[in-house]
Amino acid sequence: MALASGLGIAQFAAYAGFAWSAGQALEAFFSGQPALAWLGATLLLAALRAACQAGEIRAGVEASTTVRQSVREQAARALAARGPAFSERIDSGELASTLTDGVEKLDGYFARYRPLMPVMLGGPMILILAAGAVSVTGAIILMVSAPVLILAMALAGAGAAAASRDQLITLQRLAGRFNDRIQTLDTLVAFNAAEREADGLARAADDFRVRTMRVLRRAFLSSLVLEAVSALAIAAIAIFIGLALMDRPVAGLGAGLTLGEGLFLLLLAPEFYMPLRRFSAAYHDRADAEAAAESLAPLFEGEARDSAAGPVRSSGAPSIGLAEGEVIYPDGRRGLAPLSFTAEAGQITALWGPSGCGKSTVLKALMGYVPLSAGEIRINGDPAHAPLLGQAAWIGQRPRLFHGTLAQNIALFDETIEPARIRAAAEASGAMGFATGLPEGLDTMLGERGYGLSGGQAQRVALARALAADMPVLLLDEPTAHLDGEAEALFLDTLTKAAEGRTVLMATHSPAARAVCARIVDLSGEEAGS
Amino acid sequence: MKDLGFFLALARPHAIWLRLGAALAAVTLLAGIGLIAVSGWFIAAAAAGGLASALAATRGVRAFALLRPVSRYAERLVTHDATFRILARLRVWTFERLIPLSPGGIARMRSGDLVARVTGDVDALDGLYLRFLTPVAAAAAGAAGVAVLLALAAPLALPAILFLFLASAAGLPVLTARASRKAGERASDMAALVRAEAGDLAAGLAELKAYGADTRVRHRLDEASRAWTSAQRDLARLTMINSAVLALGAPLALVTALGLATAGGAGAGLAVLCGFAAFALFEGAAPLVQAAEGYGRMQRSAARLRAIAEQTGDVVTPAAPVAPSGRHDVRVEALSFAYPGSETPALEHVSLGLPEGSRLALTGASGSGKSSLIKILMRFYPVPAGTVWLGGQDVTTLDPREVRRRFALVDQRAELISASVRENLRLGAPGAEDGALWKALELARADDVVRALPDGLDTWLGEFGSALSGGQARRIALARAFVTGAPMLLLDEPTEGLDAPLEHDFLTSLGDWADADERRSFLLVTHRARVIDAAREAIVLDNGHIAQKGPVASLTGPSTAFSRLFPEYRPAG
Repeated sequence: MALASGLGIAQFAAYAGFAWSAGQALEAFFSGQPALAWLGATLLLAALRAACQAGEIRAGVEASTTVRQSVREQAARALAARGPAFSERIDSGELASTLTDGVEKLDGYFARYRPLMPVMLGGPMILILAAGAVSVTGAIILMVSAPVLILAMALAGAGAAAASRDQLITLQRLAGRFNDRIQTLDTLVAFNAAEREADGLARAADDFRVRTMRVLRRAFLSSLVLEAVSALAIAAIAIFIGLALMDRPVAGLGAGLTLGEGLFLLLLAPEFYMPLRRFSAAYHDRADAEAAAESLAPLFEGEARDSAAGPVRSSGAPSIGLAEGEVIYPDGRRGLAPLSFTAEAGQITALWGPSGCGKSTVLKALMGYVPLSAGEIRINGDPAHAPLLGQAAWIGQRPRLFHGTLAQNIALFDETIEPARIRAAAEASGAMGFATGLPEGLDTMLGERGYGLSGGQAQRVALARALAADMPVLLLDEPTAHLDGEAEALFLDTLTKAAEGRTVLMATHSPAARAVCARIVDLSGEEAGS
Repeated sequence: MKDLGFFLALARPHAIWLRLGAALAAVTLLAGIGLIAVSGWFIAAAAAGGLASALAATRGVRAFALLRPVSRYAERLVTHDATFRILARLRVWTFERLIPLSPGGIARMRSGDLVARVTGDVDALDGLYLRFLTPVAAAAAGAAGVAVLLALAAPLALPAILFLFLASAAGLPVLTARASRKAGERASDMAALVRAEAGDLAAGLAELKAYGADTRVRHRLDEASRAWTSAQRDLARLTMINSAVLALGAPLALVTALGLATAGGAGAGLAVLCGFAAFALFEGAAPLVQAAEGYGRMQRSAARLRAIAEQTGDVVTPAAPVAPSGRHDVRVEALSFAYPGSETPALEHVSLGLPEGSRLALTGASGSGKSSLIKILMRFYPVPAGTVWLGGQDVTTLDPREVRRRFALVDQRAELISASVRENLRLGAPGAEDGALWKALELARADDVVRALPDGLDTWLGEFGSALSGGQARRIALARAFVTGAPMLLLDEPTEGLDAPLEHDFLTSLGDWADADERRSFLLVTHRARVIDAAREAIVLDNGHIAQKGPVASLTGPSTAFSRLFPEYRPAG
């Protein structure tokens, strides 16, 4: 960014040189002296200025891409460190758009706005010095116009700024309404309300136009001031120089000015206001960056409690459990009332109870996704120093299908897992059953922009993940909540076979799932509170 | 260009505003040229001592200096006003084109992604008029003005200056548009990839962390992000080259015009006038180059929007629809149906009857075709084979809106629009009074929910408003169906995701509603055993066929399709 600013200021020096040599060339030209050297210098300096300008853009873009790349990386890292307990509370689409568009909004600020700040001061300063060397009066006209200009713009802008904030909210609401009505179009059609809503959209948009124009009439005043002051200053300089050259200097100022110097001053004048013009165009860049910072802030607020992977896996499946484990969230809600239980090694244990009783919280606490407020995790009966992360596979209610092939979805992008093992996991989980019917078998693309799978099929992929990773412990959070009877039976059947030799803990409120469990931990009596 | 032209034509009703804006933009550019050129002329002529009327010259300078800011201000107001008018029209136009495609046609277009893109495309076209039309008009007027001046004062310089300006204001934008297309496409592909990876990381974090795969997905995200920024760098390189060319073009024009004007015998004053006019003309080229940098994106958006607009819906409204009978008994005869693009039929030769007052549950494994019957009854999809009778009339002869007036839909999404509670409830009955709304809310056991909201019926729901829990939204959606006054409810997995007590409340409300009038009927699609008890009869679908049919109690029994689905089912009571 310093480079961008430096080049930004340098181009004003180059421009002053250009204007000077252009003036000299013209004067030489009209007085019949050789002008070629000055002409050459004019074009050379114009080229130098063009190069500085290009360099300034380039440096700004470099700075901005570097910042955005690094912010995105850090934001993704912060998100991963904060874990599911954090990401669950925010809509995942919103998080994805923060990492994508939110970060992009920093662009204008780092590419243009920030580098422009030193230029705002340095550029005009160079031009004033250059003008002053020729004519003090010319320099004074420029110098006087600048603060008047800034003051006038500030006055005109202050009222508009407040109004434009409301404006932004209205615009978001209007865009939001349009997006919402397209997304809910099915429902609108079902209730015969779509045509009516089209009229509503037209009315809202027109209302928006009327309100916006009221704001803009004021907001554009600041640019009116900018244009007016710069045009009048140019006119004043032109008239001043012209009269001086006609030997009718105003109040005796500017006597002895040559034609070359006069044209030089005239060429300088419009450039003097360029940084302010660019500033008023880049003004919204700052607001954008502030909005982006606001949306990114939750990711970086407070301390990330990165739950690191636990100790090296013990050989064989351990027994796991809680001893007086209790979870109270930072906002005071109780996630889990004190609970003690043990899930025996190599068996399937159910965490049983209605929704909201804390079943999922138990699993998250075991994984270290939410910290225990009191009590401890027990592994093989001994207090565990770290949660089960790294030893336990996780299967949620609706497994996510990631953007990648089915095989990548099973290996979760771990390239050290051999194809044979992926295949074996797909067989054992029953995923192979439907994979052979897919267009490209295990290499079929899945995820948001690929092939969709049914709920039962997705659960089998999730099971295959657990088998491919060969984890000794399996934690399942209501794996059959969204499956119908037949799909549920199929899943449970595969699970009981695949789970042999592993410790399985399954949160569920389904009687069929309960039936395959060797032991039941009943939480229905426990008060979770809310 | 054809696609962009189409959207430009869409603005025709507002053409007067656009023309006025373009004229003002031209005046602004010409005033700018006039200001600097006359100033230069004044100085040069003054130095040469050949100035006949200094007063006229200073007046000219002042006039241009005043005209320019005023016309610029007016231009910005007029073009923004025009843009907002067109923006409204574009949105409504798009929305109206989507209505007949919904929902069958939209589902076929691979829904989510496309719907999200439509809104992005409309936004991308917002700037079309402001960024294309106005600068083109201004540049053309500026070039014409300078050309007239040169033709009179320095005919020798005319071709050279016109060539320089056309190269900058037309040639450069065309080259830019062409060069930016590839990088632009790559940038938007990579942006989508970054979004997908970020979505994976956000939504799949619990699983990813369990397997230590969060690092790997983060690396994929970083990689996609780097590819994205590299495409952006390529685009920025174009901007850089363009700005350098333009920065060089103006001084080059100054020197050329001056030199050729003098060579043609013009005096110092006129030569400077021509040179400075050519110099100032280049101010008009920059916006065109900027517009070209965004051309590829707009072009793609325009093409996509047009493609959507040219689709036709599957369900056709008959030219002369039959007037509906007052009845709402339904008879389905030999109905077969497959989703568009799918080869396996969702329904095969299905026949069933729903007399007024019936309470039917439709069940079956997922993928058995249960939901498609509701979608066909709602006229979301056509009736490809077989006949559906409503009140004794073939539904394809009725206006689809009349059919939807008989049926009120409640599905598992319980989709509420981003509006007040009142507007949500009145969706199917725009004139309903508050009293009727409260009655429906009571019946749906949602009155307490609404009373607890900060502004009662006026509370804003959805994106910018209060969030409701799944159970609360479901109850309001049920009340919304009650408010329509439709005599038949179609319910598609209405209690999915609700726990037992909430499900019980929901079904009790449904029963109360049906009990209030013996002609009321409902069709309930579900895969939950407890929900079936709310019906009197049930149909079990298996792979698009009716496997079992009859009173609920009669369906149980060993090795039936019903008992396979619900091994644990015990009839209520």
